[in-house]
Amino acid sequence: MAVIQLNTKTESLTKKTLIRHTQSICPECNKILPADVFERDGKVFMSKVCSEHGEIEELYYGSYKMYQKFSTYWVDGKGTHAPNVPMEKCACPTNCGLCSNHLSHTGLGNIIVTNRCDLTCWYCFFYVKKGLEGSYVYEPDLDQVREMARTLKGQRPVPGNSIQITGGEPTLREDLPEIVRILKSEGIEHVQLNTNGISLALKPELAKTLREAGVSNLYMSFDGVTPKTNPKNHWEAPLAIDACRKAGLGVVLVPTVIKSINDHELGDILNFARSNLDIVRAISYQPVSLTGRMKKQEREKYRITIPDCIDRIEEQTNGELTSDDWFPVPSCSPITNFVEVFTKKPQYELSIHFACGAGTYVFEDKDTRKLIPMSSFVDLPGLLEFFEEKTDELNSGTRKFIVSAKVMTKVSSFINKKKQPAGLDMTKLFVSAVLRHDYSSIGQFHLRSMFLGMMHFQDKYNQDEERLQRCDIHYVTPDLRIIPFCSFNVIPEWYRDRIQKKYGMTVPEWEKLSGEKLEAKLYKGTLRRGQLLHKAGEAGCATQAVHIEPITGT
Amino acid sequence: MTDPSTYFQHLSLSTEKDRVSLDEPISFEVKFSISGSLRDSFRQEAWESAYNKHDNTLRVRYDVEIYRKAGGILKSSIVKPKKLWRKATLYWSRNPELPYRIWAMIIDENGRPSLPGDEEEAKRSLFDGNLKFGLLGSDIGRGKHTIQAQLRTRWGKHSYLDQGDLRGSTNKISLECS
Repeated sequence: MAVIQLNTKTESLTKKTLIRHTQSICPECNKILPADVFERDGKVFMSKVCSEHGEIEELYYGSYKMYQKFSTYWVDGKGTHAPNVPMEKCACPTNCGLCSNHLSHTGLGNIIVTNRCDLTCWYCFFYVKKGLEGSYVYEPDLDQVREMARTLKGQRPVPGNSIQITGGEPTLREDLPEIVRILKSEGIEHVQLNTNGISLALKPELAKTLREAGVSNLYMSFDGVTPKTNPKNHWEAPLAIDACRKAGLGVVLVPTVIKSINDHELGDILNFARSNLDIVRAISYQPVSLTGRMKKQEREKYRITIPDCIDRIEEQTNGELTSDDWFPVPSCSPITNFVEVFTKKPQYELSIHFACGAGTYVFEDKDTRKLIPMSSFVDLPGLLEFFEEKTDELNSGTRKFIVSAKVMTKVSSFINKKKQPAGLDMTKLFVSAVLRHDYSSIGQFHLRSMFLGMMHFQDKYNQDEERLQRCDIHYVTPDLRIIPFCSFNVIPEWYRDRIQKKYGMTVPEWEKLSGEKLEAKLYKGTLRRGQLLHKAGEAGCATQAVHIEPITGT
Repeated sequence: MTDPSTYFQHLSLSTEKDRVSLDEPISFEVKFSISGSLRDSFRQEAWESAYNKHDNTLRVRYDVEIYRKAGGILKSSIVKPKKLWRKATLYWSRNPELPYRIWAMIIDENGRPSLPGDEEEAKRSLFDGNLKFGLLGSDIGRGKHTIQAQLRTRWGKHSYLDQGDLRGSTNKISLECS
């Protein structure tokens, strides 16, 4: 059988091939509905029918071929043994928190420290707007932040170890360094700061302060390389990057990809990152999640999925990076599982649904300056299969030293040493990491490479309970629940809004308490009007400037 | 470890012709069907309990070799031992029409995934096969040959299954190559 299918229905008019049945919600009334995921014209769609609001059909995945390939890496995770919401029966997406049916432990825990923002982006769903009924300023206090970190750390069998401080714009909080110190003092190893970078551009010394407090890296919005595609921080991003460079603080660029708005600049974003490879560690492309009510025509205008972004990158890099170079996030499971069986200790795993995310590692050839994807010198499918086989052997009673010897002698056969970037020893890296658990070589690998990731958060139109149940990007809330991203933001009326109302205060209350106006912190475009600060051609992150030389700011 | 309770219900080699010229293509088919404890153990009830122990993949390895007999016990490979994998991934399904919580996705030796409609289809996808090998007459060589195939199947230990290893040889076929 050549396709994933439960049964095949070929209708002469629509030529749909059913792939699987799942559950979703009605975008109008949130009623849980049966949904079909099906193939048509090489793409994957979802359809569902609400008895009250009719049929909804939505693009689910832009390539059936990629859907098939990625689905072969599907593996369910261990979940968490310390659920806050024990349940007999699965009731996604109600009562998230996490429940005992959730299939992934927290890979990244988000803590919102404020919902105030210095920008007012049209597509953003997450900042407090003055004058809007039911609008609350939400800012957990330091004790609440500490408790949230403890809750995350209390997960078993794999304690939460990675937190993203998010907002709103977290740098609007004066006590942000203290928040970071609290997280570090609670044993959180990785602290990522989600920001638009404007505060760092305005006050470069903040980067050093945050680095010293314990921030591991910045997760910085970056939607394009022109003022048109990136009105948010086109002029400020290079200055923020430069501040991070001086502070030794790594940067992940985060483009929200919207079809017809910035999907023609995905290659240029990559080029911009290449010109800042000394400090940009990764790009996390995020196909837009279409929140709110939107007509089908409008959704079709903006909707873009992971395979579409991967295709655009192939086109826009002239094939330096092809669709074959990308793998779904759970493809790393064979290595994680091997280490788990080898060490007999539960390991951190990335067990999200195969349709949620994808990634690849790239290197830059110093001579030709061309991109070298990892898959061009590592036979990744072969290597992953090898580790699956060795895991089976360990589970079947083969002694560890025999398996170790096989790993040591065989891993090099999956690596093409001639094509491997100079100075990189992938064999040593794999052997050190999986047998000796020496992750210093992985650190070196990350410094030499750049990770390219895709993460497609859901919305009410394409929401799939099968994906939600495996989500590993979570929000920790002051009531000490751990809520999957795609519940928290997809159904804000059940989660985000309630939390903000319960633990926040009205805008007038906040203004009275703080003694300042909400709009006082809005960014006034100082660095935009102040283009005098820059010489012509060196300012901003236009493609022209990108290819000339790295931008050094003022 | 040989598993005496698992056996080949069917194992055969066939080709569409008994005479071939050196520049002519010829295809061989190795058909097999595994019965016994391996097949019987792989049932939905077992998937459910294995899944709860985080035992959620079953990999079955097939090593197939086609060779010509060269007198006595001597043989010469015409299709060198080829390592193939089939895999079942157990997952929590949200299919509201399925009466079970845990279901299996099968990935065949070509990396193609499928969701079986029922337990029997899952077993067929994993344990029955028709492996095809295309060759040229020149790959076999001039002369009259007796050709046979050998299939070795291996699987690991699981909560519902012991580790096992099964070997078998097909029927012999005669082929003249000129």
